[in-house]
Amino acid sequence: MLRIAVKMLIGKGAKYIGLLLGIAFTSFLIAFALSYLAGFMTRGFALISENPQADVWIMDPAVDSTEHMTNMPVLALQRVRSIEGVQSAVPLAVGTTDVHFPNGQFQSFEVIGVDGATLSGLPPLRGNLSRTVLRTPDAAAVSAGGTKGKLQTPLLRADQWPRRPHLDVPTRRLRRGDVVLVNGHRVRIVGLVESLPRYPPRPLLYTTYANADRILPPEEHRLTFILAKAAPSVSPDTLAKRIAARTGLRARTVAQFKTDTVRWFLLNSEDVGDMASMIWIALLVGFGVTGVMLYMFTEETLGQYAVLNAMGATPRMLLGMILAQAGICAVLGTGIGLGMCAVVGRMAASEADYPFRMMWFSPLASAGLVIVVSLVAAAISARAVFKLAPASVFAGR
Amino acid sequence: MPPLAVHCHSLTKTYGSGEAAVPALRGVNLDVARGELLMLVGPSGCGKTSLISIIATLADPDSGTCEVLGQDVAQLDALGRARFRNQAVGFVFQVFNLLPTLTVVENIAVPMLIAGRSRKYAELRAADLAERVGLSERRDAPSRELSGGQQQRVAIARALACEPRLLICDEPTSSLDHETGQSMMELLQREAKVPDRAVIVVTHDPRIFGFADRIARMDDGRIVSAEEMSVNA
Repeated sequence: MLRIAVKMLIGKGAKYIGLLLGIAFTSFLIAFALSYLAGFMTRGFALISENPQADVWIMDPAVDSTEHMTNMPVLALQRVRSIEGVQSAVPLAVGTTDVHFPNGQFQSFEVIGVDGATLSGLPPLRGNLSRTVLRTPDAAAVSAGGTKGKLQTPLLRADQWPRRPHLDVPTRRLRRGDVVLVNGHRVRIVGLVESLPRYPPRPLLYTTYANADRILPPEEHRLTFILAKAAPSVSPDTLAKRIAARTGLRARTVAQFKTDTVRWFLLNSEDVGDMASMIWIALLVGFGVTGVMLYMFTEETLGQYAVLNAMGATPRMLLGMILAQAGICAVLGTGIGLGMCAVVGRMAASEADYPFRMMWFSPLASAGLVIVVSLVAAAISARAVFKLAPASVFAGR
Repeated sequence: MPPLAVHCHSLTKTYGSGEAAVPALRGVNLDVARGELLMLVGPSGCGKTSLISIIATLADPDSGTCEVLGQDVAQLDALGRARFRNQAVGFVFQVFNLLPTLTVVENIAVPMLIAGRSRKYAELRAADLAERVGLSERRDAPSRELSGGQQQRVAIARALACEPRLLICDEPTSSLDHETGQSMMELLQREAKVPDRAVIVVTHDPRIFGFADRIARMDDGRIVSAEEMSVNA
C-alpha cells in the first residue's frame, strides 16, 4: 500500500513538485536563518578563534565574554605562570579607542595588544610579510574586521596633516607605511592583517602589548586576558579549574569561553533579537506553507481515499499512506532545501563575506522541524479522511 | 429457493433532524438470492443509494436489520466492516473511481493489496483479470489515459479481484454511451454472474433492464414492486 501511496503522490505531477518546493523553501529558510545566526556568533568569538595556541583563557571574574571586558592587575600574569601545569602564559590587551586619520577623520578601532615576545594572537599579515615587523617602534597592523570603507586615508599628500581637517577629500585604503594618530601617539601601519571578521563588525588595530599600553587611554590596569597553554600532562579543563581555584580569577577553556560569549550575545545583543525574529518568521511562513500545502494535497485526494476505504482499507492503512506521503515529501523537500541552503550560503559567504556558518544543528533542526510539521499537517488532514462519509463514493451522495 | 445473499428487513434511514429531516428509507424489505442479478431502479432521491450503502456496510440504518451473506452487518465494528467489504463485496461505481496515477494492473491489484496479498500475486492475478475484461494490451497504461468504457472495464475487473460474493454496481452505464453500456453489461453478466455471487445494479437506464433476473422498483423510500424477468438478454 505504501507503494500505491507513493504513486498517488508522484502522479500528481506539478502539485507534487510544488509541494516539494514549498517544503524545500521552508527548510531552506529555517536552515539559512540558523546558519546566519551561527555565522554571527562565530564572528562574535573571533578573538578566541584567532588564538588557537591558548588552551585556557584567564580573565577578571566579572568578564563573561569577549564583548564585556574589564582589565586585571599585571601581577596576575606572574601568578598564572607560577601554577603547576601551565606550560606558558602570555598577556593580551584589548581596548577600544579612536584612531585619527591624516585628514582629520577618525574611526573607533578595537586595539589588540599581543605579547611582544611571541606575537601570540597576531594573525598572518597580507603579502607574506613577517609578523616580526610588529616589533618595530610604533608599529601596528590593521584589519577591516568585517567592516567596509572604514580604513580610508587621504589619497593626496596635500590632504594629510593639514592645519584644518580635510574631511571630504578623495581617499584610499590604509596600506603599509601610512601613519595614523592614536590618542596623540604616532602609529605606523606596517601591514594589513588577515584577521577573522568580527561581530559586531569593527576595525581592528593589532600591536604589541607594550605599544597598546602606550597608545590606549590610561587605565589602572591594562591586562585584559592571559592566554595559558597547558602542559602535555594536564587537560585544559583541569588546568582551568586549578587556575581559578588558586588565583580567584575566571579561567575558561576555549570551548567554554566560546560558549560563554555566545550566551552573552544571545542574552544581551539586540541584533540577536532581530535574528531570532527572522527565524521565527521563517518558521511561521515555512510552517504555514508546508502545512497548508500538505493539507490541500490530502483534501484533493479525499475521493481516492474514500474509494480505498470502500474497498476495505482500514483507517490505520489510510493514515499510514497519508503519513508516508507526507514523510516522503518532507525528506525529499528538506534535502533539496538544505542543499540549496549550503550552496547559496557558501556562495554568499565567499562572494559577499556573508556571515554564514552551517553548523550541525542547522540542518538537524530544519529537518526535524519540517518533518514534524509535515507529519502534523498530514495527521490533521487525515481527520478529513476519517470524517468522510464512506457512502460518498456513490454518485448519489 | 437458493440461499440469500442479502436479507433486509424493515430498514429505515433518515438524514438530518427536526424540520430538516429527510426520510430516505421507510421500512424497506429486500431479499437478494445468490446467483441473482437484481436491478434496483427508481427516480432520483427514492433511496436507492441509501439502501446499497447499508447493504455494502458503508452506512448504518436507523432501524431494521440487514444480513449480508449471512452476516448481520450491525454486529460488525469498523475494522470488521472494512475486512468484510474487502473480502465479500465488490464495487463498480458510476464514475469508475479508479486511482488515476496507477496503471490498469495496479488499479485491479489494489483490493488484493488491501487484503494483504503479496504484490507479485496481486499483479499476476490483476494481469489475468485485465485479460478477461479485454485490456491485456493496455495493462500498463495509466488509468487516466483510458476511455470511459475501458475505465469501467478496469473497475469491473477490480471489483472481481477478491472474488466477492456480492457485487454492487452504482449506475455502471450512466457515464457510457449506449453501445459501450450494453457491452459493459454483457461483460458484467459474463464475468460477474456466477452461481455463488449476487449482483445488485442500481440504474436509471431502461435499456439494460433486460440483463436483470429481477427488477426492484423504489419510490419515496420504499420498494414498490419487484418483478421477475423471464428472459435475460
